[in-house]
Amino acid sequence: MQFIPALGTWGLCLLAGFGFLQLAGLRRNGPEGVGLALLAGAALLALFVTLFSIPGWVTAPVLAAAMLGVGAFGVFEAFRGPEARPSLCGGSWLAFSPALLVVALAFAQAASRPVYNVDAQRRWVLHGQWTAEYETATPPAVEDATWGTNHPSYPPLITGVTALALELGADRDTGLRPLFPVFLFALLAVVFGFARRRAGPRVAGLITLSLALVPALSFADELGLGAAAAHADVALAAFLTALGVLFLDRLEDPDRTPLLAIVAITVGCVWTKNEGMAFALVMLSLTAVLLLFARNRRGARDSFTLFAAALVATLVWKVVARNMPVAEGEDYVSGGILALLAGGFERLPDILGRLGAELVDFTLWGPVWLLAGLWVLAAAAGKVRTLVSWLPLVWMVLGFSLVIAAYMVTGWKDGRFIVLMDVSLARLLLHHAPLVALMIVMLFPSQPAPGSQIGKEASA
Amino acid sequence: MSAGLALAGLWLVAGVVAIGKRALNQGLVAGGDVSEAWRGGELGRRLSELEVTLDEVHELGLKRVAFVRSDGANPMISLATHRLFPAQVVPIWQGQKDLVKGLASAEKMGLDGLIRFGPNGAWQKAAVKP
Repeated sequence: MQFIPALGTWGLCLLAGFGFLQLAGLRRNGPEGVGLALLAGAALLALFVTLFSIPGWVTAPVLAAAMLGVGAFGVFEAFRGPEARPSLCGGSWLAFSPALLVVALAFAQAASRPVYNVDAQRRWVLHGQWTAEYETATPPAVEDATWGTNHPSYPPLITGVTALALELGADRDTGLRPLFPVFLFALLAVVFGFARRRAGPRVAGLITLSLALVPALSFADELGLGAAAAHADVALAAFLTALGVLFLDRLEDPDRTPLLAIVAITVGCVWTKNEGMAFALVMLSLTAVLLLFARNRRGARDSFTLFAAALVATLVWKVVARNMPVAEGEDYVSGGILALLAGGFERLPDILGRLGAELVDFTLWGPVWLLAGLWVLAAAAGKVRTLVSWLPLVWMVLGFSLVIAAYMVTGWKDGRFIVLMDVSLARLLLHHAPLVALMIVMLFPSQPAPGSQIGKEASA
Repeated sequence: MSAGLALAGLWLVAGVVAIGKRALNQGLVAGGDVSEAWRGGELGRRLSELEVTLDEVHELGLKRVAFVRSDGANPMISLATHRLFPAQVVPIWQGQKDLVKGLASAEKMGLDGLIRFGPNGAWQKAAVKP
């Protein structure tokens, strides 16, 4: 029963996220509705942890009251209005159930062993411990530079989820890992909903199960991989995928996907990992430019708005965490980054060689990267005709480029980038692997809802 | 649409093979404590012993503890960091392998405790007065 506080934490996130999405006007049913509500709730929790860290009020009663307040208000509004009420029970749970079994397996793994991964113990769980201990994510006690190797400046979402579970009574050894497979559930649920709209429930179940079976995502028990690890990588994959799905949905039907809901998911990306911060900012600005060239002004405007939200979230956390030390050689976001990049090209052959070896590791990735290559061939053969359908591939190429750039500039342990690649490359690629599922889904025609604008913008 | 179905089908079949191969090596659900998670062996034995030492150090109520490390000791430092919180664990990197040097360094850094794996094959802990 060590997992009860973890489930309580997610229960609060589900309620708050569901309420928020109702207020934002996003009505999604079934697994997708639950997955999006969990992610939006976690992003809200991160917001509360960030704001309450300033006065030092990060306690279970304060967080729970804030989450319950948003949830209750949103549920009240949803059931008061004349619109169709969302049903979390509908939405083809049966077709989703094979993927749900993989999540259950990850949960069993998480509950069977204490936190043990190196980064989890020195970073994510540790940050959760001090947030719960000092009632702020940015305590003066860790301002000393010697805490820098524990990365106190890292963003607050995983910290917040972990700290709330600890506040609710989770054991720091055995009670925290069960939090993490829920991010896999959310990821799969969002992909399932997207695929279901285009390809129907049976094909959606097939694609979602295939994604769930990627060992690095769900099952690998090494280097912080797999959904049972107390790491932020599956969580970031879930947020980035949800951002992609909602953005693509909005491009096709703005009425069905309100911008405020996407803002919440964007903030979740930024506050989950530094990589999410960098990727969201670059992805949204590049997408805006591409859409502008394609004369899709509304899409470009939406993308710029989301970019602004990501920028504000980045700056807010930077201000709140301004006194937190950064480890020597690990400042990836300062103004000197371009100079480092220019000097890092001599590393490129080694980086590409190591990357190539990683991509063909079949027992870690299955055929996922091969499928990306086959998709390009299919697209080149004329199966993909719109810019919108190409966007998941563009985002994947962008993600890979940022990963390569990070290894070109890193000063980690005096620039031992190959060692760093050994311990982190698979986790960084994990963030972008679910895009392959979105690429495959884009091969199916969009299914317009009655009276919707689907198809009008998709031809951009 | 047919291209999408073909890719999805290929993904499922090859994905089952991939995860099946991994499950054969890894086991379906790997349980156990921290030392088992690190595949037992010599490292696992040291981690098990370290857990006992960490409990003792935790009871001392120290604030900043040095951990003398050598190559491959990351899981141990991580376990110490996790278990000794709110005490801060400061790794003292290789090159300071004997206890005298470690103690001197710890005092200079303002630490009040030190843990190292001694030459007699057992964990040693010491309180340091800065």
